[in-house]
Amino acid sequence: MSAPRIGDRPGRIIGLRFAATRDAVRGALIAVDRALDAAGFGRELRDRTQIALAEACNNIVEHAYGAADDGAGNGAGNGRGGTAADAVITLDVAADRGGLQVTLRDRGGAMPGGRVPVPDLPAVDPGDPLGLPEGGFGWPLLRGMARALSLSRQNGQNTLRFRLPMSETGADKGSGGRNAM
Amino acid sequence: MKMTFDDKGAVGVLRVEETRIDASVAIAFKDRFRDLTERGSGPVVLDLCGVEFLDSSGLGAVVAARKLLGAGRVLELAGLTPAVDKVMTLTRMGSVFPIHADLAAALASHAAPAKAGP
Repeated sequence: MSAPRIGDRPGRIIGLRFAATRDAVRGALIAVDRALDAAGFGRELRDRTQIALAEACNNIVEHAYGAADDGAGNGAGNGRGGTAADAVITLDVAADRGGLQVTLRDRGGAMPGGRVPVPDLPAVDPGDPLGLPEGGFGWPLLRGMARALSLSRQNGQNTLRFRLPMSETGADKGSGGRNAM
Repeated sequence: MKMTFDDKGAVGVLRVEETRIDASVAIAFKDRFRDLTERGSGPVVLDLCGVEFLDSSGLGAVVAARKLLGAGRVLELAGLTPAVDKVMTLTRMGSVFPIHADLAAALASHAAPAKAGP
């Protein structure tokens, strides 16, 4: 495997095509992590990559393809977008000098409003443990990790792109949720 | 979902024997947590030292698990790996759960009663 290294010209590190199920997403993320490790990328960037990819891919599984909430993600394809046969996600990760470029494609339903949501973090009150939110963290997590997040749709295909900068200082702007207050 | 429960007297220790708590296992995690903790009455320490990755669904499952304990019991976390710590920090959930560096620190905090003065 000719793994691109930091400083090399832009190059693909890994390209995957997998079923839009939660189990397949898990497998794809593990494969990405191994490929990045083999290419010499450090743990910290790989952690941010895992967090961003998990939220982006599971959003496709759960919303674009409308998976039934069966806990195993085996309901993909029964929802708004397409049939089971085309409930597929393609994933590309490429390297350049500044970090990683991620491209995700699917043929599921369109994002409501056509834009990537910019939600606030759900309110968290440590004094009310039984009222804590159990969801609403996905987009804030993706936004906290990713830069230059863009979404387009053409001929029934959604394309989500984002960058993961090499160092966390670049990734940290606006994270920690202070911008949400 | 591999999890083990160890009764340490004042506290119950739940160790997650999986490397990832993600959307694929979130519901299984919550079910297993309930099965392992429903008979106890004290605080529970969730030892996450072997968990390399937690996504938003996994975090939701941890929150749901905490709620299963009810208001009278506490869920504490121990052994956060860097990726888990990152998710906890960014979502501010780190402010909700008492967090210990590792299981030994968690147990020590319960072994020494935090009573003020002699």
